[in-house]
Amino acid sequence: MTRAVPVVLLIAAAMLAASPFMIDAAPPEVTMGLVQKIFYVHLPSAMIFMVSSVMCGVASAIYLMGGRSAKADRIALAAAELAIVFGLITLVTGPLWGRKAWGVWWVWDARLTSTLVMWLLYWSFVLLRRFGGAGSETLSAGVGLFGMALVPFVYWSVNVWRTLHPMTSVVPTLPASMGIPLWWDVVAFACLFGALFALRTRVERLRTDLDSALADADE
Amino acid sequence: MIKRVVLSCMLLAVPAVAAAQQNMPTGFKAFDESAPRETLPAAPLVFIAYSLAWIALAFYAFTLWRKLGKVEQDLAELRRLVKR
Amino acid sequence: MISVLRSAWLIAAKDLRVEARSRELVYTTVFFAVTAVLIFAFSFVQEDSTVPPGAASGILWVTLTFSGTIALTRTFEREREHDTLRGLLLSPVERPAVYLGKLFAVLLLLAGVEAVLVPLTGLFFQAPLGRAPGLLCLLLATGTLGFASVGTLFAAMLVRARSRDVLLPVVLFPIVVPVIIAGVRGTNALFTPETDLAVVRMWLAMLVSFDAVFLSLALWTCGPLLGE
Repeated sequence: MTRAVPVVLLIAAAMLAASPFMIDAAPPEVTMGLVQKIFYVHLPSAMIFMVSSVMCGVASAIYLMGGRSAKADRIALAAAELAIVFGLITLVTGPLWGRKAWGVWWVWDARLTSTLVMWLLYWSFVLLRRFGGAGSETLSAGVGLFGMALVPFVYWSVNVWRTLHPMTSVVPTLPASMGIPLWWDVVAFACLFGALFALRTRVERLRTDLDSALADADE
Repeated sequence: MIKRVVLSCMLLAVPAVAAAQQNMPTGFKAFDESAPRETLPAAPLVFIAYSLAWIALAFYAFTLWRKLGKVEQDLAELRRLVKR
Repeated sequence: MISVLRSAWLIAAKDLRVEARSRELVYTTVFFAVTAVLIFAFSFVQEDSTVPPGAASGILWVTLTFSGTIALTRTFEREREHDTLRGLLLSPVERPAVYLGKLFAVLLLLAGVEAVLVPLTGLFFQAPLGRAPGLLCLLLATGTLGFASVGTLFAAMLVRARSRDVLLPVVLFPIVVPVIIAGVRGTNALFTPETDLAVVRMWLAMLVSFDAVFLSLALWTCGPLLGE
């Protein structure tokens, strides 16, 4: 597991290095033109953001319901941090695209708002962890669990407003010239996610080891 | 018909001109809000988006790498002390 | 079930009795709400005393959120000062009863704040409170319940945490976003000149389902969350 991390990291780096050439080769979109190429980094990061937020919620639920395993807690924390990183990429690339395609940086559309709210929620998870002191594992697990229940409500409450954001149903209908660079980037981001996730959980495991070793040394 | 269009255009132009004059007391040409602004170049936006994504990922990987190094160092130090 | 409700009521009655003796929370929270409304009035109302559309409902809900957060922090700070929450959790009552008891107390306190705040917004911002008073009360009640059901749980959990004063809003505000959206939009639909009651009912339905989901989630998880 740990030995695979550098290999996966290298693969992801190589794929990401190659992706600009593939994206350059992809045809520009008819109405949006060149700016649509942000799509190839925006959608993969949004997908990974969703994956990590679901992981965080499920791991939090398992932690709370199933006897507080340290492993579930580590997974929830690593997933929350990665949700912040990939959510940041989604939230930064989105407005850059929207500024050109819609003429505004931001609209309070269901998708944008729910992404922003969820992103803030993972920030509160991590802040709680960082500054909450002892016992914050349980608290942050509560945040992760409530956050998962929150998504449909945020989505529903904002969906009443007119939506500008393209539906994800465009993805299967993409021509191959656009689909291949997209899925290439999705795989690259997923590899990167896996490697960073393994690293983050490893840091946390070593920290608990260190703490218990320190406690042993004190005795 | 044409007269009507011209008239309505002029009527619409009055507030715009008035606003523009308020904005340029020193004779600078004010930025026209109503003009089509399709001059925004796309290439810098794409470039910024990509570089920001890469910077964010590289920064996170870097902080993780440093955290890992520090914890491993502390652990090794502790083991050394315990052995002694 | 009945015993849970009875213990919950006993806990709430205890809180209310403590409050009735000092009246600290009611006075400070209501005063905070009034000053907040004043600040909003200075920042939003135009020079010719016209109120921008949508301001009244927004001011009402923002003030409610902020004063609710202060009330939650203070309620549990009181428990912490005398370390009484531990006694409450050690007593032979189930966790849901403790949670429900604190929730009742917070709800009653917030109802008191609303009794002052709502007429005040009607007075200062020309909000038509009498247009559909029943629907307005329902919107406020369900919105407050949604806010307080999540807030009580997290405030109770944060009692033992460091920097709890700032962490409560950090945790609570993202989670209550749907309550604020639904409350503001629903109240705004009620206050606009061309009132559409169907829209108000739609937001009310959303608030009711939020309350149902989050109240049951809180009751279900308050055992493991409030700790041993």
